Amino acid sequence: MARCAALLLLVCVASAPWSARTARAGDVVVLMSAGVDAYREAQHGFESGLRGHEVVETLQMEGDVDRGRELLAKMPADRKPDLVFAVGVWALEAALDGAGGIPIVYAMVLNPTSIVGDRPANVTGASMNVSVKDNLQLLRQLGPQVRRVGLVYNDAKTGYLVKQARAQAAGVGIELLARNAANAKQAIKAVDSLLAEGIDAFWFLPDDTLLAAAVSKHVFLVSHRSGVPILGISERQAQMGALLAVTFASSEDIGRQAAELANAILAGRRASDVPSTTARQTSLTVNLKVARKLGVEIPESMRVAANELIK
Amino acid sequence: MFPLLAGAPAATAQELAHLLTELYGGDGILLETSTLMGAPHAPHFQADSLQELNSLSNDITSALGFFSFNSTVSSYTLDIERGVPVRTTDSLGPILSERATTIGARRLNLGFSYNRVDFKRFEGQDLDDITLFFTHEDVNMDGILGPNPPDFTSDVETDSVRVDLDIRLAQDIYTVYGTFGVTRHFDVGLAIPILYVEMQADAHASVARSATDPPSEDVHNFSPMPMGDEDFTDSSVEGDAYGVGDLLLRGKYNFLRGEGWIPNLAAVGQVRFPTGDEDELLGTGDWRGMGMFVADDTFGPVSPHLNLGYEIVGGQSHLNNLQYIVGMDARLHRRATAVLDLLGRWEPSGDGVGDNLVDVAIGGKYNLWRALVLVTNFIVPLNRNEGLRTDFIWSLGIEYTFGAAE
Repeated sequence: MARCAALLLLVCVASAPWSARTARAGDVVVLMSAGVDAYREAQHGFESGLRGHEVVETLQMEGDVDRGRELLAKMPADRKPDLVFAVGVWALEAALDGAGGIPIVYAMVLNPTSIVGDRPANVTGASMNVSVKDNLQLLRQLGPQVRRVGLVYNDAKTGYLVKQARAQAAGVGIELLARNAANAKQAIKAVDSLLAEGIDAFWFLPDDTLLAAAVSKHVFLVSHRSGVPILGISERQAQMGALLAVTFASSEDIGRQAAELANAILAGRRASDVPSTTARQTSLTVNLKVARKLGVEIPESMRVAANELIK
Repeated sequence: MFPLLAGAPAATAQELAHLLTELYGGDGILLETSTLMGAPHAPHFQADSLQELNSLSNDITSALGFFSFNSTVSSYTLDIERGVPVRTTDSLGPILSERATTIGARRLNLGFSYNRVDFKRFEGQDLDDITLFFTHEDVNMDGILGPNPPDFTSDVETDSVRVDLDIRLAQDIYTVYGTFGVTRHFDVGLAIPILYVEMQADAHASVARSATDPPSEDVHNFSPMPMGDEDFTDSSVEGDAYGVGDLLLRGKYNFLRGEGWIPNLAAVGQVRFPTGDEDELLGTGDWRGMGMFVADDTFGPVSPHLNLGYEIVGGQSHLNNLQYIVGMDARLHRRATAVLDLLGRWEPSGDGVGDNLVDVAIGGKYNLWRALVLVTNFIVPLNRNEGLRTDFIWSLGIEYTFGAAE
């Protein structure tokens, strides 16, 4: 009896979730890169911000871009959704190949311009980048002694950010010294040359070339030796020795930002006419230990605004 | 009084916890009344045999083990510097132990496991070969078991009854369990065990003779007539029961997601409800609460983990115990993980029976399809002479996580 009851329950448990709904016209399909908490929070934010439409299906890629393409290809031609919501970089890659002209709104993608590139402009979204403007403002708040800011980038990844930075830096009284590096070896040399040339701060961009372990360690080591403060991209970097670090604060809010873009597209605007966004809620970490060592005075306004102070 | 030689028919007791005391009719071992020094001589082994059987029964049933609460897996986290998901661990996670990371907000893990527990040894004795000696009562109450001349010259008190016991005790445990991620860092879990317990005992009693004055055969016999070596009596009991065991409710808060050299840390609170029928060996009969500290980290394909907890047993403080698990899970293949754990349970104020149990567990997980994972595990006791033990316990289970990879 007990054995039968237990086996019956197992069968029920195992079979319950496998009835997928099919997308209906006029609705939204979510393409999820992988089972990541931050992505699920973004989806939650997206669904809560969607107006007049609903998510009819969530396609799980399980980290497999090919699977994402296949899932999109399997959607019946007569029941295509009006919009694909791509969560995460892998979903965006799959959607760019497999959405077949359906507007794509992405969320939680870092450096989306480097992925979308020159493809047809049916794509917009809410990236997880912190805006160039916010980064420059933080450097500016450190005081007039921070004038020459150095950065190293890989043009294929973050070249578009450097273009934006160059356009805005002068406006806030910052001189930008940028070095392009295609690989780790070049990046290390570029960092050394910047420090030799003389910079007041180093701006760490979200660039894989710079994030290679050898390069990253070198940046922190030589900057610290040279007394140059670093503006980093994560709380972890602040713990490693960056003076400041700024990152997005809420995946859910990025999802809501994406929903606002989706609402505009579903209301009839072309995706190409709906500008993509950066994170509007940011999280700032200030390492006061590093500030003391470098003799940098952290403004009271920055202390108050900081989400995390490392003392 | 049992019939001579033929042996008693198997009896079925109402409650498994008292099954052993039902041997020989439930009144202890009785011998034929004989004559000693011209006066009737009563069977003076009854009290001791009842006490011994009851003690053995209590010891065995209170040492019954517990089911395992399989741990769930969170596959990915987001590398915010690179903007890509990375596996929180390359393995599918531990089996018997907890990991510090939680399942994730609004995710649900459901599982089912089957354990077969076939007990083989109790305090170092094979359960199928337990020998008990029931001593004679001190009939003249002089404080000596044996002659005490000049007042008592008989050595009749030196006889004893030997009982050879063959006990078979096994549990089939079917556990349905679930974990739900309330928030990103907090999840709750419930485990509902359904048990089938079967127990059988065969006893063979004979007189261990040493009395010569008068000869043992003249006073201590199971039959009305002296039968020498053929004088013995057998008895068997058997029973089974099934039902819901002790429900387990658990909450886990992952208060630190480690980076670099800092491990993941979590606190686990667990309550075990006495919903299982203690008399039928389906539950412990006690409320049990446990606080546990959990730490884990990942080094390439290997994830070591540590669980350290203290369990408080309601109303029976001598059963309060410290539990620890040290082990690791390691990725063998994209879909396969091997798990090795050292499990310990120590009762600092225990009663001497099974106070310090140490096991080693070897298991594996295999990702069959999407988020469907097959789990199997073997537990082997390291100190087999402590408490009620098996040669090994094997389990087989399956679990599915909703919300991530459906």
